[in-house]
Amino acid sequence: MIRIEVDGTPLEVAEGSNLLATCLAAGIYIPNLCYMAESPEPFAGCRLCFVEIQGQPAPVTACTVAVTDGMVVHTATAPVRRLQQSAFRLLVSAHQITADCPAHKRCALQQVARHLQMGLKPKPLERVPRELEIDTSPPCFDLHPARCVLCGKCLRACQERNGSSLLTFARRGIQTVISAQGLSADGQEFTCEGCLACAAVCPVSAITPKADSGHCAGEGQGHADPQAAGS
Amino acid sequence: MPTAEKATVQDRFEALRTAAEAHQRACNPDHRPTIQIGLATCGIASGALETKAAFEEALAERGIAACIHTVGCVGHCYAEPVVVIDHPESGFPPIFYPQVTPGKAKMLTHLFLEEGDPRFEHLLGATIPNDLIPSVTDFARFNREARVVMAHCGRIDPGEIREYLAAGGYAALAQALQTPPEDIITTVATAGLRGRGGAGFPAARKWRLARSSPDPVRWVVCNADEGDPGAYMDRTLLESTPHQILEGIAICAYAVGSQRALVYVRAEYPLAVTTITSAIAQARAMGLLGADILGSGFNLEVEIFQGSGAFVCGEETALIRSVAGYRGMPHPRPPFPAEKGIDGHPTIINNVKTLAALPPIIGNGADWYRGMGTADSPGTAIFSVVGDVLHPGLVEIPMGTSLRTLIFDICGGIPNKKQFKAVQIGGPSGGCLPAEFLDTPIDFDSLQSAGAMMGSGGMVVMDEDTCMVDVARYFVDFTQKESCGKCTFCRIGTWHLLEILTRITRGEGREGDLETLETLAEDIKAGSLCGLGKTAPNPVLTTLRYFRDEYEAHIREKRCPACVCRPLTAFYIDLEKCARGCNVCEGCCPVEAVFITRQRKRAIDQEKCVKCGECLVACPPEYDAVRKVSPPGLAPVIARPPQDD
Repeated sequence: MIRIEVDGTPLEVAEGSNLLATCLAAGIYIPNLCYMAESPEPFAGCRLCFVEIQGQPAPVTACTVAVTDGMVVHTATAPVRRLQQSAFRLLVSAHQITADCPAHKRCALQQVARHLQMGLKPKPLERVPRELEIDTSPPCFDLHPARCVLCGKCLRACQERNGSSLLTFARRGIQTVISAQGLSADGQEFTCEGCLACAAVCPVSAITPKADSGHCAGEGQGHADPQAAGS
Repeated sequence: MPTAEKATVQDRFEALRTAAEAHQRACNPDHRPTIQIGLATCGIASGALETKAAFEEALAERGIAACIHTVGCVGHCYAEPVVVIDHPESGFPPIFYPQVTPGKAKMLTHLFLEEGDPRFEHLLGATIPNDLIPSVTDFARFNREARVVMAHCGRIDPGEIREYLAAGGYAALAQALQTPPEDIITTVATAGLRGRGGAGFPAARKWRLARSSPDPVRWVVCNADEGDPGAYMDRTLLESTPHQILEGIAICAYAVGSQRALVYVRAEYPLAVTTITSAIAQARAMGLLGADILGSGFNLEVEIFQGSGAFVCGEETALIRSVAGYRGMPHPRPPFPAEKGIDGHPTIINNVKTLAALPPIIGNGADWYRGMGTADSPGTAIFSVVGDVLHPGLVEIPMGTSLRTLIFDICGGIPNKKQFKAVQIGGPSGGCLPAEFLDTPIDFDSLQSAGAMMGSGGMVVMDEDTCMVDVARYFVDFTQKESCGKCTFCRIGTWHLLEILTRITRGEGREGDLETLETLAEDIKAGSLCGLGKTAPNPVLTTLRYFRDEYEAHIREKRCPACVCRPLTAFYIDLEKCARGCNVCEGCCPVEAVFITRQRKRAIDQEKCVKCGECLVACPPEYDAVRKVSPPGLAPVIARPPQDD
């Protein structure tokens, strides 16, 4: 066991543990959307979990840091907040907010907004005008790309559970979406068994089980719990 | 190493070289004239294949015995198709002819090869100094270059390994194989070789990391995923000097203890793929690749991986992902590829130019290499200089050469008496430097501190008719379209940069836009996951820094100082200069916006005009009557006379 210090609180942790996981376990919240403790490697895509580590010139993402003895971490300095607020503003600028969203009040974005004391408007940036249709092609769930924050948790959850993933990233730039066109490890078409691990892990309800998905094995029927996501 | 073994490697190599030299001599035993034609992509695009066919036809028609020697790119793009004719009997030295069309080819066959007249009006110069005709070595384009990596470009046939061997090729590999690997790494470290992919990371430091790994399986990757707009160095090298690259790969693999190497090349470089594929086959057949190279016990298999053309795949971690068959998306470092790369094995990824610099470094020693360039950036730099320069092309110069020397002396300066405005270095990751930086020495650190970047060698020169806001918009558009979408800053942040820049170029800029641009650009730089995102805002930041007044003119005065942004410009015809009776502009206008005034001159109907600029191009230079102004309100309003009918 080694000692680190986060925002003045001394913590005793196993050497080499993930800094973000350590902080979350100790009850110190650091905004995050894409971190999954089960994943072997951090995804590091959402760019929210910035912290400052004493001795390092600029903020770093906590999900990519392994703790070392004597590490002194600050989670709420001005440079950290600036990057987090900037990333958050970008995310909401491309995120569709509707009153009927099933994630309303439980959405991970709302939790991050509260923590950063920000509204859900991207000012001074414009909203990204996107007309994205709901993809109803997967057998047991629907994809709502307008809500998706591309944290990639769904495809990693699918990968984790099935060895390969039905879900995959498609297109480039602002057009990037999660698409249900993944292939299995042997390059064959992927057969979805409807485990709904993807829906369970989605922090923003961008994957919703189909209403008539009675035949799907589904563990994600009850929607995502944003508190559970990442902690 | 025991002496007996040393002799074996050297003996085997000498045997190959002797055979290659004999083959070379046998090619042209009776000293026939030689016609050397550059057949890399650039040459072919300019019509070199037609020129070659014309020579073949003319030689056959006239019954002249001459050798046609196809080579790669000489680097003089402005002069393509380039032909060098060596006609020993004529008494002239080999002569360099630019822009040899099929017609010129037939003429030269007749007048020079048959009648011995070199046609002075068509030649650029002799390739070597002599007493008869001026030599190209008198031109800065030839004598200021220092060709190390490009030493064989445009001189040897890239499809014939024996030409490379006869020119001294693979000697460095033979020498390396008789040296302990650690010593090779030390030589490369002493030479101070820095990665030519852009960031300039010391090559030897990367290699040591892989060398010290306990994993016996290691990979070497030659990164030829060139993607910067306007950059074509790697393609040209693969097409012109593939064996020097393979030799470099072999030296690197031997030094880090790797037995597997990969050339990652874009599928949209078909000629480069063909050339390097056949080069690998030839080297294998000669025992210079494959099992037990030159009897040294060292094995190396080189494969080719064709990338599908994603800009981000030039980034090391994304490249590894793509090789594994997945969508090319970067992952956070550490672990660095040198520790954990392809299939989890240590992987050394070096740019084509870095690897191709190895044979000369090993062959001539670290001190020789250090003798070129600057203390912190030794050696040479290769740039593909494009844009508003008289002599665009591929140039290899010693590091530390000033931008002014490169642009004005070597590449001939700005054509059409225009003023230099900016130079964009390092592609979408680089920056735009204004005229006050022309005396900046070209090396990794000087360019970095000026806000630009060495990059992999793309250089775009821009004259006064360039709108810097539009240039920034162009590059951000590129990075936004090429973003893999993984991280928030690059995926969404660059979209917002693009949105603001597009608005400004349309004349819809607002107060506060510049501050938003600056803040967001800095956040993207600090917050992005990979190098592509971290450097994507550079074109915006540098243009904001050096050309802020242009941004302000767009926003506050709705004026584009360079008259480029269409919504902010207008065309009109200067009635003083317009000639009665001339109707060239009227004829070329695609929307019938040009009408006849009461004085039987021409004027433009601003309502109809789509600002295509055709009339400006078409107006005969002796009148030069079409004017372009910004803001559009400056154009005088001339009413259309009532129609007669």
